[in-house]
Amino acid sequence: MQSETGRLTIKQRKRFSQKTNEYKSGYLFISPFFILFGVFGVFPLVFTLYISFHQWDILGTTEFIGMTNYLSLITNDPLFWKSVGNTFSIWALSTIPQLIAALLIAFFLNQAFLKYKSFFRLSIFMPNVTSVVAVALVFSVIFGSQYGLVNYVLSLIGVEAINWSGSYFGTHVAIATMVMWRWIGYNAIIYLAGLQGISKDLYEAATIDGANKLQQLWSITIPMLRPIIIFTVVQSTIGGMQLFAEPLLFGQGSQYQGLTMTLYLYQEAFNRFSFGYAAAIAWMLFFIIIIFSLINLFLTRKISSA
Amino acid sequence: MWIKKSKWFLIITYFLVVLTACNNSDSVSENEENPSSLTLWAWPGFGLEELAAEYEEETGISINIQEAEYGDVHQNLITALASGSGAPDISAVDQGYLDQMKQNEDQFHNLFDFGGEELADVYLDAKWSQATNTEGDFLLGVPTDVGPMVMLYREDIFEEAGLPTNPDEVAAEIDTWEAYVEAGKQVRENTDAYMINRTSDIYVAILDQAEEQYFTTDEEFIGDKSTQSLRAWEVASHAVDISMNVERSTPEWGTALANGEIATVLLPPWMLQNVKNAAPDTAGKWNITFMPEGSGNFGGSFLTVPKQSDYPQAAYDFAKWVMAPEQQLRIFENGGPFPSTPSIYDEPAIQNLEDDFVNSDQLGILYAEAAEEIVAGYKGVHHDAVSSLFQDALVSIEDGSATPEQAWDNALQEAERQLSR
Amino acid sequence: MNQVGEKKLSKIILYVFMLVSALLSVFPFYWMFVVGSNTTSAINKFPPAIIPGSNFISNSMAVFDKIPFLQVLWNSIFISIVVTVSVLFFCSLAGFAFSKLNFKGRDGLFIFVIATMMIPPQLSLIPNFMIMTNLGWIDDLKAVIVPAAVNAFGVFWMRQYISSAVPYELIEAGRIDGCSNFRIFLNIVIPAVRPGLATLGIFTFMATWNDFLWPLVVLKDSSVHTLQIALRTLNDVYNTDYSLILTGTFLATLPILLVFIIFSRQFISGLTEGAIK
Repeated sequence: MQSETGRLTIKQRKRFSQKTNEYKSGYLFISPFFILFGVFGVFPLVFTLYISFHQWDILGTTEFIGMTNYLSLITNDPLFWKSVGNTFSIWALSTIPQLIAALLIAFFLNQAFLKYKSFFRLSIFMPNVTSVVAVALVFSVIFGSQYGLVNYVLSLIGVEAINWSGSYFGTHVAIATMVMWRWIGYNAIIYLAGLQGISKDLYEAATIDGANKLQQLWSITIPMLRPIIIFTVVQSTIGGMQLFAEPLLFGQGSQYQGLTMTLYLYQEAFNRFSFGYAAAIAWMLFFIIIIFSLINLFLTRKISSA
Repeated sequence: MWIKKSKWFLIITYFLVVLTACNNSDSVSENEENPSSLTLWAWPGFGLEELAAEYEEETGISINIQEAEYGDVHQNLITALASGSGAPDISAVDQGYLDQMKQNEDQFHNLFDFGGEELADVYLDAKWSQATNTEGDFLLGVPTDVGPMVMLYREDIFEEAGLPTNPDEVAAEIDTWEAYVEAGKQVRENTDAYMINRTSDIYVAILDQAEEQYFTTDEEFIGDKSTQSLRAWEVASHAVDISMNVERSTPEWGTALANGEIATVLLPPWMLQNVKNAAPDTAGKWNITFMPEGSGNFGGSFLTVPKQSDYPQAAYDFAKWVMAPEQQLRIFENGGPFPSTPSIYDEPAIQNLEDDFVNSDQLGILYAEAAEEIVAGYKGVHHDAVSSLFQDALVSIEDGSATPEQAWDNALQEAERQLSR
Repeated sequence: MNQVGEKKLSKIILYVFMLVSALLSVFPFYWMFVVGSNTTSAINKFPPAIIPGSNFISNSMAVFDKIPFLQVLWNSIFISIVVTVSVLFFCSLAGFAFSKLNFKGRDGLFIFVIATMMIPPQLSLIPNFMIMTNLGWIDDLKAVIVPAAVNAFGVFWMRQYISSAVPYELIEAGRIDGCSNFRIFLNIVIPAVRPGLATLGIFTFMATWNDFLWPLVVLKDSSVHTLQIALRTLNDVYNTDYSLILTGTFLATLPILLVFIIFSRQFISGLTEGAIK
């Protein structure tokens, strides 16, 4: 038996307290991440920035040298630029096919008529749990230059053997294959989880409207998956730019055609002991990733909203 | 209402407190002269466990051996030294990292301060000069094992190629690196095998046979003009035809060995086990003799005492005891690496060493003689970085992506750039 | 008639495609067992060995002999479970806030979270080690657990997943019922994002289980070693025995598979195609 005006004021009050509530809860809910980052994340960043302006050989003296590390990195380090080129080349070779294949597999895995789903799900996830030691061994057997399986198959059809570890083409293809093999299943699981979140009603409505599977994929699945697709693009961009394990396992090759940015960083720090220089590489890498991620994000938004 | 909301916030706090509280009890510090235990970092294969237990029984000091993978031990040591805490009382350091550590000797205790002088005649000269600095007044670590280089070869392939098969005759015929390359060509012409897995292995072996390599003792770069650097490059870059271009200790290397496609392996004693693992079916087809132009060293480490240790005297005492000739002999007898103390080379365990894999009853004698021939070459801080550039350059010739001249120029240019930084 | 045939054909193609993908994915894992049950020289055979040998038990015994398997297994299980539970809770909470709550600076803070993912982990080793020695956490499991208790990856993922799977109407409905934000999170959001949580759970558990870069820097004493650190010590430079290493890694992988099977139950069986036909 409330009056009209009374109801309104309650609503208004509710809206107001709702707003402050959201503020409080919002900050509170995200605070664990920021607290932890404050404790374990800020110091390494500041420390790295500080020593990137120094010549620090880790064990000995620290000497302030201003921008010298950055300058010699940009103007006088062909190896660094080579590592940038390698990283982008391997990224391009591996990421796009990887994401498309993952999306397809997830789409198939989500079909109702498909039997033995849990078997297929487990199978495609296996590469991600297989130990890197085993992966390295298997791939060195597959892409061996002397006794490799691929070269053996090529020889059967009369194609000349490829020097996988000794040429740009060979090394980039081999590493990209390794990356794809390891991460397609991972991304497929991510997409699958995303597909599970899409309401079935949408598909049922589309089926009533007479849309076929392909049309459904294009007009329902992809738009609904947009946040997830953005996630995988950002994630694989960062992962690709920080590629470390696969080139380390496959070998960088005599022309350093497998040298990636993070691998170079690690070598400078722990093999050549020039930690200041490595810190400068890390910051360059950070900027490159930011710029590249923004470009990718922009493109993905454009494509998936088109 | 706010309190209600904070309920779960308490959960986080609780979570963190529980974690922080758990096992904080073992931080009992002790400041006595004699520690009750010492921490030692090493990688697997040192074979110290039994001796450490014995040491504890005798002295009451327990040795806490913390093992990690070879590369991890060094990374951990560098991290601990760089951040100023967390280093052990004793850490093994491989010879590859030694000069870098020597350059930063203030991170370590000078073992001469604890009686290190008494060890001067115990170890091989080459090992001793590695353990001390250029001026000879700083002892960085107690030498452990040594890896004298010898040549393992396939008797059947040599025979097929028309080369001698008896170890003495082989050593006499292949007495220079040029002769080695010639013999390699003979192998290539008359058999399906290659002489060696990669030219860079020849390069490293030759380089290690002289006192002067890439740097003078005052760290001047002479890699572009030192006799041995030029000669190693000259021989190796002309050995492309006899090399298979396969990296050592990879599955392809194993396959090549198992298939009998590699005629010789230049190796230190410890690597024989890896050959055996890779190609067990080739047992009895191998023999062993001296490498051309002397020996060389591959592997071997030192027990160092970081400055962060509170018990340097006790640490030194243990290192001295465990690497004394009698103990090194026991390690070797238990299947460990080759000892660096020449006084025990006459012991039966070494003199009568045999291995079914190799048709030689002179195995131990050969290792011992090779060990005494190791040259104490000066390495310097950047030796390994420079060496890997030249090795990569050789591989790029084998890959067909550079001519020998281009490869040399590339390597030299990159070496000079890295050194000038 | 023709349409039915076409459908059958496309189904066959689909099954073949899935089967080939499955085979390619599983083979290296299977091969790990093949080599682990043979001797090291099995790797070197050409064509490679593809049939398991009879040495698996003896190789396993050798692994148990070399490393304190139960001890390190327990450490790994403890670390992975605590980290996974903590990540699931904190990341979904933050993801919910970033996706469904309005507060000032939300988008900027979110971009900041993503940016932290771009810091190369190799470089934080030394500064983070300094923090841990100051805290006295060396050789303490919390040196691995606490920094991993919530991560940018998880926050990002849960934010995206909640954006995609939870419509605003659901949240509004909860508000009308007078639920607090935390109640909405617990009673409305969590049940709606179970596949997302399962995915995050699997990945977090796996990543924690397999991580060695950071643990090996802070966990040196063999009593606090994780399985991955202990396995690395099987790689003896003087005696590289791949059959032993692969037996160890094979055994170490089995728990992750178990976790995957448990979590992936949260994936419902997919669309009910033809429900209306």
